Amino acid sequence: MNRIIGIFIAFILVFTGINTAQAKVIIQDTFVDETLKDYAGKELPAANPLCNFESTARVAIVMRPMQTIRSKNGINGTTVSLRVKEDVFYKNKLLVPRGTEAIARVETVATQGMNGIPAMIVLDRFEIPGLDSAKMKSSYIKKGLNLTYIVLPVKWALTILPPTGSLTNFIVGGPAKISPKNDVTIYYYPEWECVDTDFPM
Amino acid sequence: MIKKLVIFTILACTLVIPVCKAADTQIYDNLKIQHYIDNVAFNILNANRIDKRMVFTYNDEDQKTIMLTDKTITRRQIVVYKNQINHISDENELAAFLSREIVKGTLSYDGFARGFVTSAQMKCAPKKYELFFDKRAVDLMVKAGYNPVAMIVFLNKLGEQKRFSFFLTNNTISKRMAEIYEYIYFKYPEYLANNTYLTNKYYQNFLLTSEKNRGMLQEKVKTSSQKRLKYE
Repeated sequence: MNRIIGIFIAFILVFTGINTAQAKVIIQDTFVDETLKDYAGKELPAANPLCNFESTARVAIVMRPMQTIRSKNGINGTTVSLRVKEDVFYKNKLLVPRGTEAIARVETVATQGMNGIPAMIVLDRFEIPGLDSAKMKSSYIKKGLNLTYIVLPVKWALTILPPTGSLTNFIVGGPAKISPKNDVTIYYYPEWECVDTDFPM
Repeated sequence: MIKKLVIFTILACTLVIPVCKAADTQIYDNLKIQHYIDNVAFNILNANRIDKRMVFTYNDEDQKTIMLTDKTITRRQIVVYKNQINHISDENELAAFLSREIVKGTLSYDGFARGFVTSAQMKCAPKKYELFFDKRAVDLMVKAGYNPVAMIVFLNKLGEQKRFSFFLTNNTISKRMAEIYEYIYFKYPEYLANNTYLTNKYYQNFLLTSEKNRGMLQEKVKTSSQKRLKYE
């Protein structure tokens, strides 16, 4: 009996030994471990709750940024402050008073490219005091000067004289800028009913 | 005569039934994959409040090397080919693939002539848009509750590595993976700090092959630089 137990224990030891040997083989991301140690064990960003999209009633919220954001030096993920331009009412009830300070994130910045492609700045994840962010359609995209409207016809017109058409590739689109003079409009759906669910379902 | 007829019937049945069964199994498998794709895709659309219509189709053929039309931008029909789905091992990876196409499909609605010009731009300069799609796809995934690190894993398995990024119409996959890694590092550090993919062999392979690119990012973080890195 003792022999059987001994063999069993030896078996377990051998297997756990193999497992630990395998675990040691894993390449650790030391750079992340060192620089992001404050985030270890932190909760992951919450997914957007599931909503009942039945209601079509919506209100427009017009805002103006408090600083200028440029595609040249805009950084993904930075926070931007905005101010609500006008009072927002729904069914004669004041939802957001004029001058309320809101925040948004610069989600992605894409620089301008060849063929007249403009730069792009995407703002999203708006947070307005008193409003549920889950009930917003809030992705806002600002593009720079789009020169593709010129590039494409010229390129096609020049196809009879190769390779001159390819020279239009070098025309670069305009940079994007969101200044305090620009209106940033998003839509809020007050009647949507949202529940926190464990996405993905 | 009756004997012959009986033998013929038995033979026909033995030959036809397995063929029918095989076809049934194939249909059933395709249905399961289609349902799987639809479920993940509509989760992403609803969670991100995307109000542009798109459909998702599974094609049980391999994707052709040269595709003249991209159905995502012409018909807003996102096609998942067999050779792509074969590389997908979990919902997060499928979400990575679909999110990218959803971003492309959404943008194809935008602008003059119901998005015709934007679509032409995307066709003209895929390299420029590629990185934008990847980054936005990461945002879509996070909002829908999927792990964005899966995009690196998926790309590492699927994308071929071409020689020179500079002369190509597309970015090299190593560059795209490095850009995604940087994007997640700065915007969603929680996913890297609590990385569930760390023991995944495909992610391990990414760590192995991206040493140089990650070194560049390390330098950028150390020096608090804002410069755009030129990954390889």
